[in-house]
Amino acid sequence: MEDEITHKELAAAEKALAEGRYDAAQRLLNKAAESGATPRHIQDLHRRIRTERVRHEFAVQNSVFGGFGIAFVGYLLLCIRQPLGWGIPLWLALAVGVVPCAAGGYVGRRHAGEREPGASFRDGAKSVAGAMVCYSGFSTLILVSRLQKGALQLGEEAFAALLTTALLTIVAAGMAGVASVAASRIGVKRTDASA
Amino acid sequence: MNIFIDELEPPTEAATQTRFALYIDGDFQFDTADEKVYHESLALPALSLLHAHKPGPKRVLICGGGDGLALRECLRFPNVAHVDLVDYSPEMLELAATQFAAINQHALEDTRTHIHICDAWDFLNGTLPYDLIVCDFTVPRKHEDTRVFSTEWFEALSACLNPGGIIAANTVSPQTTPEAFWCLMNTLRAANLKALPYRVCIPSFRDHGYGAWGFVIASRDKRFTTLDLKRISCPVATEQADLSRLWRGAHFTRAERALAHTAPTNTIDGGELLPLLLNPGLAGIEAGGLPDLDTPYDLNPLFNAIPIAHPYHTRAMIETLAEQVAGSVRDLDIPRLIDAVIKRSSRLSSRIVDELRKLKEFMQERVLHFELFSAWSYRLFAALVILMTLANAISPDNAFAKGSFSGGAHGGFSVSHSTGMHSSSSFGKGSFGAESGSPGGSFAGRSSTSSFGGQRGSAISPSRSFSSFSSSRSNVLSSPVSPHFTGTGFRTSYGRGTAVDINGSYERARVYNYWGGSYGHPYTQVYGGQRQPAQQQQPQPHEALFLASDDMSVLDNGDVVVNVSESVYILLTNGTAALMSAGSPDPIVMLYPDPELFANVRDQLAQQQSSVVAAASVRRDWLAWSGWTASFLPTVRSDRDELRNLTDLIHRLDLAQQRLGTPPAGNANPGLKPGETELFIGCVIRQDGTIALHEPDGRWLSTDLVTIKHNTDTHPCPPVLATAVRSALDRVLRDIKSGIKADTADLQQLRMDASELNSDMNQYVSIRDMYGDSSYEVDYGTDEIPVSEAIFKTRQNLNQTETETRATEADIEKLTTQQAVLDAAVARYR
Repeated sequence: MEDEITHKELAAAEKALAEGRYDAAQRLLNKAAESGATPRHIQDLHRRIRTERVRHEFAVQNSVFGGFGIAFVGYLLLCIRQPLGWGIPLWLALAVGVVPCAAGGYVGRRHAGEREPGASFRDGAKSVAGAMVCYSGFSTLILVSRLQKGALQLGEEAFAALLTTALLTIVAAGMAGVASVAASRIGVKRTDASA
Repeated sequence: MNIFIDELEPPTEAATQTRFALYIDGDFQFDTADEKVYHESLALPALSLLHAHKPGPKRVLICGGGDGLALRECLRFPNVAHVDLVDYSPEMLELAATQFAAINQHALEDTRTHIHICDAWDFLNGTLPYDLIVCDFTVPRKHEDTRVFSTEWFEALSACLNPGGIIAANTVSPQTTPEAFWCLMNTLRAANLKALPYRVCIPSFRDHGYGAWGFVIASRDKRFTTLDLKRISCPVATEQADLSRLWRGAHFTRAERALAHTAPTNTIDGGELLPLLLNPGLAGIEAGGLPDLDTPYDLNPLFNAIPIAHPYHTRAMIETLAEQVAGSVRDLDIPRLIDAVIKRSSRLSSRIVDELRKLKEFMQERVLHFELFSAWSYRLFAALVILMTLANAISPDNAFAKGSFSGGAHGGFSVSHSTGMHSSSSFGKGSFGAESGSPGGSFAGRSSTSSFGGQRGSAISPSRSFSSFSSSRSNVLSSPVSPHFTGTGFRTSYGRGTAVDINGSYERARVYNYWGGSYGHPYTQVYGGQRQPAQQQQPQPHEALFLASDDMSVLDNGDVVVNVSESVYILLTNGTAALMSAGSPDPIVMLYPDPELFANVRDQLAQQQSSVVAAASVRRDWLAWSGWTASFLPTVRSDRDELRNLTDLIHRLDLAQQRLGTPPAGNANPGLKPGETELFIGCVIRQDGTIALHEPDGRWLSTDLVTIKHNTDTHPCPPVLATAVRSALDRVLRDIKSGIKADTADLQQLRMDASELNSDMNQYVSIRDMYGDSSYEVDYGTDEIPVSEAIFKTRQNLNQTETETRATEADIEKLTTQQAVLDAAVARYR
């Protein structure tokens, strides 16, 4: 028969599981097993911990896609106008502030509970930088092609323009990536704190 | 050898011979309906090349080709003195002498023909050399057949060639068996022969699924090229093959030629050719390494891994069987299967049961999540597509950049661009189309025909010209303005002693020296040598800054000038028009300032300005991204300079429109009377040969360049006016002559186009009639389209070409008349 301590340990494990602290939940479950929890309870909880852990890992692994999606949609909306159309201050705020923060924050939240150091930053930077590469590359290539008779052409000038485009893309991606890193950290912290 | 003759159509009144097809061992050989395409393409190119490079009597050897059809082609050719036909099949030779005699035109009975019934290998030993060797073998279907496609065989042939001799051989299809085709090319090269492959489309071959058929011309000494085929001149007429287009079949794409890098060489011992023929596509897989096995349910790599080892096995048979197996596997209910297996676990070892349980758990946890993710990702993708579409609808320039980039207030424009060949393309939609178009100022050659044919009225300048009023009137309304810049004028030269046009092209700036302020009115002041009070200042030199058209420039002070000749121009400022000479700051004569002309000039300037504004906007956007790199990237620095110059030009064009002014409303320009020819704005040559100038008060002043008649007064004609009119006459005459020359060249091109189109049309019609099927696909340019569509398109092109031809002819006629008038005027006033 399960005594009161065992019940408490099982309840604590359940709570830890609900909060996404899988290691703690497993530890408490082990304790409950030692305290004499029934095999049915142990098996059931163990299976749920494992399933939830897998689900979480999956979510973490795919957070980079989610972050990319958010940033991509954000930049897609920015695409509607060129930076001058938005006004440079507003555009800067949106392109290297709001959009990276939204995507980075999302990645950070999905990483909550993740204990691998730097994973959330890496994923946040990857997703936002990827979207920024698409956005800046797309926008500048359009401009380059419009500068050059409406179609990309081979030639020294076109090569220089493409080189400039590549440089712009890298720099813009770097800036957006850095912005997203900070946001992802905030996301992780807030989620941990709320937990 | 199993020979089968399929009688397709009995003789009719129209066709006295039976149409039949020949099959050897089940393989299609020829259809009498189009066999000449094959045999002419095989024998005649090689004979023609040989004829060109090595005239004189020729000895020819034909290996295979027992049907006598290749022999027929050889005998048709002049200077073929001796032909040895070697075939190992007496049955085929018997057929050639009897049933095929009508179609091979009794070639076997020709005195020059010598028939040898033996193996070609045996015949080659000790034979005399030949000028041409034609190989017309059937496609190999077993290993022994590939001996006559081997390196050893071609080496033996090469040894039997006279110096300068050629080998012409049929090969296999480069379309359906490309690896085998390039294997043969490598084989020829391995035999130290220089090979030129080409392919020919033969309708009956295509019907049998053989695709375009390959041939090769090879030589030991000379490397023949596509150019040789292009220049080929065949002294005998072909009936079905079009040798003038043969060179097109010798063009292989880089991807096609790349197969030669991986294709093996066929030797007698190696037998590399047969597997390639039976298993097209395998070589690429071997060369490309293992296929991507991660792709779910992509069974093609598996199918291709099963080789075909017999001619009667087909890929379709293997695919059908494998699909059945794969279908069963695909439909398996794996969890249920595992459950069923586990139920019988008493017969399995505990380890296997454990593994199965793990597999089941894995599938429930991982695979289900994966499926969830897949479904989610599809939704995301769909959402993105919708978003992109909406973004494109809202702002095409920024989202996909395929919308029109119009010239501002005047809207986008679509330029009908005649290619001069078979089609007419319309730009103006799609990728940056509206940015394409004729440049604002140059309408030489074809453009002069297509854009202005029939619109010139009596204007005599064949180019787009403001110096001719009646053309300027229509030009402004119809001329497209290109908003993009191809020259480097705005980057490097603008404002530095050069005049730049809307395309960024630049030329040395012409300098105009005249009094500042506006010129008031009457010519009498000029004759009297008086100046108006407003002109009591030093004459100022002004450089042309912007070339608004061929002959209209905007100066650095914003004034607009229209160049009449190298030394004469018309100054348009403050609502006045003054005929000026480069040698004097005073006007030669004031001209009638037609309000409509001023309005058109203003429109033209506004239109070009809006183009410049649009172009500057693109550069501004670009610099918003890249401006910070200007300190270390010279190209971005140039972009910045260009933007600065464009912005300056926008202001100058603003100024020009303001300074242009509005002339006082007066009598409308009456236009040209019958028999009158316009020399430049406000100046006409009348029917009697006198020259009339339109005065500011609307009256006309006439001159014979000796005297000037104004109302009833007569003055001596100032020499400067006489010189100006003569230089204008010279220039316009020059323009007309170049216009006629350009139109004549256009006309010639159009006639050639029409001839080619007619030839195409005849071919399409004959194909349609031959097969009675309008959906039969034919080559149309680089596409294959139904013959009915090809006929329709060709007819459309023909109609268009005819219309253009008529317009060009009318244009030439009109220009010739004007030339006669001007010639007479030049003779009179010289």
